[in-house]
Amino acid sequence: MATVRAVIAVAASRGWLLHQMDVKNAFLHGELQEEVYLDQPPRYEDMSHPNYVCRLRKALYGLKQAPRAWHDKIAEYLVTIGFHMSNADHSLYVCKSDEGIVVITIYVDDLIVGGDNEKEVEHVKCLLKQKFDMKDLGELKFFLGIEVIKTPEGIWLLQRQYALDMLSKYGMVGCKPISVPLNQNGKLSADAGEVLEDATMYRKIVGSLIYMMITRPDLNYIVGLES
Amino acid sequence: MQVPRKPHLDGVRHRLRYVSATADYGLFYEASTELQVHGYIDVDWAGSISDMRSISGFMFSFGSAVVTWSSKK
Repeated sequence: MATVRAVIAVAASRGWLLHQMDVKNAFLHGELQEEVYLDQPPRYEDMSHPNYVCRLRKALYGLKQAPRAWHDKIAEYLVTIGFHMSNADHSLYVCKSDEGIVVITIYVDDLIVGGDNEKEVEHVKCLLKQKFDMKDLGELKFFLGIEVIKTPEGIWLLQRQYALDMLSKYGMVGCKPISVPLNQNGKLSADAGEVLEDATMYRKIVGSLIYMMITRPDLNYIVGLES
Repeated sequence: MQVPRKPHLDGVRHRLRYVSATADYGLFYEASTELQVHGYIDVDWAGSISDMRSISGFMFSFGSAVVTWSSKK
């Protein structure tokens, strides 16, 4: 996510446009390098060869190599249309030309396409749509539960809606808000108080707080105390 | 943490109350701020009384807001 935030920072400063796309059935695009076989699917058996098995040519959801196969597939395509993969982060692709710059960041099947030239950005989106089955979501507004709000002064990244949903999920809507994240009794110790019979709720809340940290560095220290 | 206890659950509920007061906090990347990287680091040299371990942290900003950070025991 640091890469996504860095791209947003550059976009805010340089006035880039930011668009969003998602890939339908992303993992079905990947080509398999390994031999993978499966039984004939029920009701689709070949009656004359009931003992035959099928060999997979492309990846399926649930295969452990599916995410990797998909990444390789889109990386290879982006390179053929002129992008360079970043050495620091293999989910970042940059294409510079006389017409301008286009930057793509990929988060599994969500893509952010940014750049300083609208024609170039549209061109790249067009190529991607032809190659993969993609949905063009237009201007970047909502990405993995994060609100992206563009104003004349800059760009906001907020998880306001995620925060509100989290509070209602854990029954904390009417709670008394506090402006300081630490409790007064301070330090937690590993062996005080009774052991929770069911720690599921506790773990879920910690998980949600960790996700909240995408736009909230102020939560890092206090969540670190808990997990 | 292997065995969560009641005070831990109370702790995370407290965090949620903080989140409820600050739900509209976020990162703002200002257009007019120059794109420069600034980095800050800190360690507390075994500041934890109970186990003598350290907390180390860093943050790097790019323009007006941070892009990467960490706080770890």
